[in-house]
Amino acid sequence: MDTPVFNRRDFMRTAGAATLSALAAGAPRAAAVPGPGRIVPRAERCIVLWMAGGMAHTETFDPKRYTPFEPGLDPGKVLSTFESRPTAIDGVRFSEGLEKIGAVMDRGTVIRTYQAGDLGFILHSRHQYHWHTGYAPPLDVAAPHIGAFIARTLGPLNPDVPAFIDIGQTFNVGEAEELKAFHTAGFLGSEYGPFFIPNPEDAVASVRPPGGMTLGRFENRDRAFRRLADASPVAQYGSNYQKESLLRAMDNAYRLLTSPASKAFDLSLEPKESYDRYNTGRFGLGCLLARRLVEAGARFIEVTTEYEPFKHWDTHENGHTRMIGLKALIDAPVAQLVRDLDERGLLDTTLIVLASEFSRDMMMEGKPGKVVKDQVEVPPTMTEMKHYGMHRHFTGAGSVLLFGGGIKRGFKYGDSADERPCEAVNHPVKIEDLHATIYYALGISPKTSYEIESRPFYVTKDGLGQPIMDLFA
Amino acid sequence: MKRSWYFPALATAISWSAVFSAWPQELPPPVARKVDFAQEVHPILAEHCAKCHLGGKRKGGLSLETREEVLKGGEAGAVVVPGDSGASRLIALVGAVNPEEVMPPQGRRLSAEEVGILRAWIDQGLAWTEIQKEDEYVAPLHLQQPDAAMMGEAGNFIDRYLETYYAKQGVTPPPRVDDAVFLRRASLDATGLLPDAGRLQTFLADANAEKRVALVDALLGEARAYAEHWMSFWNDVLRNDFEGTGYIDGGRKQITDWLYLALYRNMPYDEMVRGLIAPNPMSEGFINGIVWRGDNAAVQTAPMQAARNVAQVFLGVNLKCASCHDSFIDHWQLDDAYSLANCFSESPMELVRCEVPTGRAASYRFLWPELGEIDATAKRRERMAQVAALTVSRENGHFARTIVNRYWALLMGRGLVEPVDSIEKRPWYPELLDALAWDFVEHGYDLKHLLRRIMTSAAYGAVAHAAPEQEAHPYVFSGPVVRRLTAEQFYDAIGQISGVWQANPKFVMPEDRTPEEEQRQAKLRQQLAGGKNEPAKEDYDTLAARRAMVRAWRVPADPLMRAMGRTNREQVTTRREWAFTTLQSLELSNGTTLNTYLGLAAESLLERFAGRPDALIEHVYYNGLQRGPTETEVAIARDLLASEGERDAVQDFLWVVAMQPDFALIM
Repeated sequence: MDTPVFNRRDFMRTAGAATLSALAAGAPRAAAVPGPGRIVPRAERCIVLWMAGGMAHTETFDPKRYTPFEPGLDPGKVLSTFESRPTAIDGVRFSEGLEKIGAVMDRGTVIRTYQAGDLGFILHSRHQYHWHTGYAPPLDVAAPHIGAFIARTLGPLNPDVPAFIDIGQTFNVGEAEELKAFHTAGFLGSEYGPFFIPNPEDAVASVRPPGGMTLGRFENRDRAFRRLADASPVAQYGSNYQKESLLRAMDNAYRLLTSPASKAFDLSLEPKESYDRYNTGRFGLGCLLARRLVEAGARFIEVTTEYEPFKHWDTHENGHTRMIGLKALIDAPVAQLVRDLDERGLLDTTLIVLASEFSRDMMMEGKPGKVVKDQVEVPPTMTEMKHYGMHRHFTGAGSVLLFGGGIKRGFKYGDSADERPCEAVNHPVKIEDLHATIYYALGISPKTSYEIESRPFYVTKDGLGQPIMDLFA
Repeated sequence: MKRSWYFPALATAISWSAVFSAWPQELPPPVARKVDFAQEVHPILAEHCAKCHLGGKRKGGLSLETREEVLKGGEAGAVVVPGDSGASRLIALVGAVNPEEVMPPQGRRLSAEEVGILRAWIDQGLAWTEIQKEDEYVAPLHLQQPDAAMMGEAGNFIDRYLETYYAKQGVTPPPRVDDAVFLRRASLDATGLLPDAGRLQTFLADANAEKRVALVDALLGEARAYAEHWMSFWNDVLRNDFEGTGYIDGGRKQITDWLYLALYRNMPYDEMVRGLIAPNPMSEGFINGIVWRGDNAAVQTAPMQAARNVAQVFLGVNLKCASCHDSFIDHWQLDDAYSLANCFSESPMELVRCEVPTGRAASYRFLWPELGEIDATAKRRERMAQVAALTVSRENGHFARTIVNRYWALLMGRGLVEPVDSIEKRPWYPELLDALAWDFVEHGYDLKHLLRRIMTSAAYGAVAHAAPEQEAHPYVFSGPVVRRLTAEQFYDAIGQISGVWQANPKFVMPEDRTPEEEQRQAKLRQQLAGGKNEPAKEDYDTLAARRAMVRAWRVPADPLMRAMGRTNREQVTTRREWAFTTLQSLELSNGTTLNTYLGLAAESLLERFAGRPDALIEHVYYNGLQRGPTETEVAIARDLLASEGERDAVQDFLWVVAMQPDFALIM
């Protein structure tokens, strides 16, 4: 099974959930959504670029002293395994290999003091759950993904484009069940859940008839369905309401195939030159798809490098070498996405967030001063290249990039220490405040809540998230 | 009167500079709206004041626990002047009028909006919500013994009660539904399966006036079909599944084997619940909960999960609020939640209020102490047995009420009490609820007896009506509600029509646990794998792999099942989503899961009906819709079946029928 929940979902908000029963136990209703105008939205939409697996800040957007590899090296001396390079922000340097993103930093902000939740024993999927919902599992109310909260609160921008699109994650990997647990609208109901596009190159399949069916056959089938429904003696039982809601849902499903917005899903329509600029692999094409969908009217999109235990950003060994490839994977498409949206005049109303569940360090595991079980082994001296890199999970500081959506251009927020532990030394940013900032940018109060089982469930934990106002221009 | 508050110009500028910019130059104005205590005010108090002034803490003599205590103030006198926030010391403190005297002394200061909310709250008279008192009704703990005359011997007491009810409410009782519709409804409710054409014919031809009762008895007697159907409901409620979070590192355990046998043998419900609360190794998965690796919030430790789940599932009491703080919406308190959780804990627990330890030790107490005591000195196992005994105690009316209400809601489409997890709320007919509960207890907590009682009532056998988009208040019962097939019923119905079922089940039926069957399965897997170690999922998409009757509950959820409402079982779910969503329609019309399934179903049907379209049409209608097709329907179906490509045509015909409202709905 590629996709755990729903591969195709509501393309029309007007369809709504034709609720069969008003009871629909605990059907959530807005409990404290602020009226319009309380917060002026800066952004209309949001793209999260997810660096799944734990992106080391000292190897990417917050480089420290560089120590080249040599056999016999003391790992305690190594803070960064790359040289640093200047960026478009005065005095702010990024790790080598991220020059293209560095060059567009005149349009965005780097946060260097993100502190991942202190959840004890570190498990990637648990921290990812925490990042994406604002709540740490297990929970006895199914927490919605931030994209679902946004879809529920703001609805789709264009009714023909799903409000919440998730690009790049498959669910036949390790920890798949844990990943499924937060890739959901939770108690908000499946209507607001993610529309999954595991592989951007196949995105177009989700707006075409199934299994190679021709459009002619699809239409013929649909016609027969309607004729039969009209001819059915079912109405005698007085259940027209259900019948109508079923037919309405079928209408909406059908409309998807003929909507002009469906072209946005087809990457083959992108000019080759532009396609190539993005094409560093699945993630790069995901960024391209995100741009096309934003142009077509998407509300919330997440593009992930994909989480798979010990793969991608989950560098438990050979960190330096793997980091070269990872940076090459993201540098061009992220920068291109920022440029393209800016050129199209869409960046000011699109908030782009690049983040990861936690950072990494060579010596520290968890929060500085804490002892974490089952630490990644680090030899006393490095003898091989595979020892060289940031292999342990670190939560003392991490980097987040923000572009557009009213965020300051050419700005750095917060500092981490230049010596180990390279943790935040000022302006610590917690997940609830980062979320509050995202919500605030979209005009959503961080205290917005939805009622479930007669009690409010807030978009930031207990409604306590505070937007970081210093980040806004 | 508007007063401005300015900082002293010479405040220690350097040390305060970090916060200076965030501080208002002027005391923020009250927000210009009616504020809600539970939604807006309490969260502020809980965040900023809890450490010193809530949960039994009264620093400086001040507690903010109740309205009275807020009015009383602290050692230094009153902190609020109701109606005048500008003169209230509390506001001066949180508004940081004097930098030397600021509340809270540590941590994040209140934002301007938060101060404004508190000001408005004081100005508006300090409203305090203890309990949302829309309805004072609290269900009595004990069952009310029903009137002997109402219960009677003959007929079904449900109808006698309803007769009185209809008369009082001025409701015309709904007429008796057709036999065919009844047969379909009853089969789906008892066994999750459709009656086949043969059964339909026999039932329609039966002239016995009591044939519906006989049918219900026969259906409930089909032990395997019954158990397989009810697994889905109980898996939802007990959050038991083949896959899910926690299994990855032993933080979760299935109870599938135990549960299946309990249903198959129709274990009395009180015994079943005892087995879940004071479990054996086969059934301990429910109480053990789901444990993620790492540090857990106090509110999510395994004993707290156990307390909440026991209360919700078996007793219709929601302790989710009370496991963090005294509930704002009902009478349950933090103490109640911890006293119950403590019974499940290896070591004595300390009360934690909103993640702040209170220093108070939890006691050992059942939710209704009048039912009996928990021995604080007993070992965990004994305490759990005591909790189990008090839960299922005859004196505990909520136990029986909760389950009879759940079953009523499942079969009739709407509970006697709603929400079904709030059994203390007012039922639309308290006497009927208690009569059902009483009858259930009198008949040895027999779940099949309960089903039989409801299903043989005239109320159940009446014409169902469409659920309204918005329910009227107060609710008036007027007969059963049209329901939808569950995901599992939908899949199994296709299986019955076509002979194509699910593959690679995660639960092996006890009767199949023989060496011969295991060998047969191993051989099949080997064939399907075609040289690989294990077959891939799509290797099972062949007729050979899908002819055995494997019902949908036995396999993990696929995207279509999820879209149709099968739950993910990370949380207790007592009622599934009922909505028809566009998402479902997309999955149904455009998804590969159903497309593949119906393709195989078409192949299978063509083995029997190739070249005989009319026979195929009749087969599908009688077995799928429990009626023959009308002439118009035959004409439309023939048209479709005559389109290009025999397999495609049959596949499309099956799809068209499966999408019909009278297939998808239980009427």
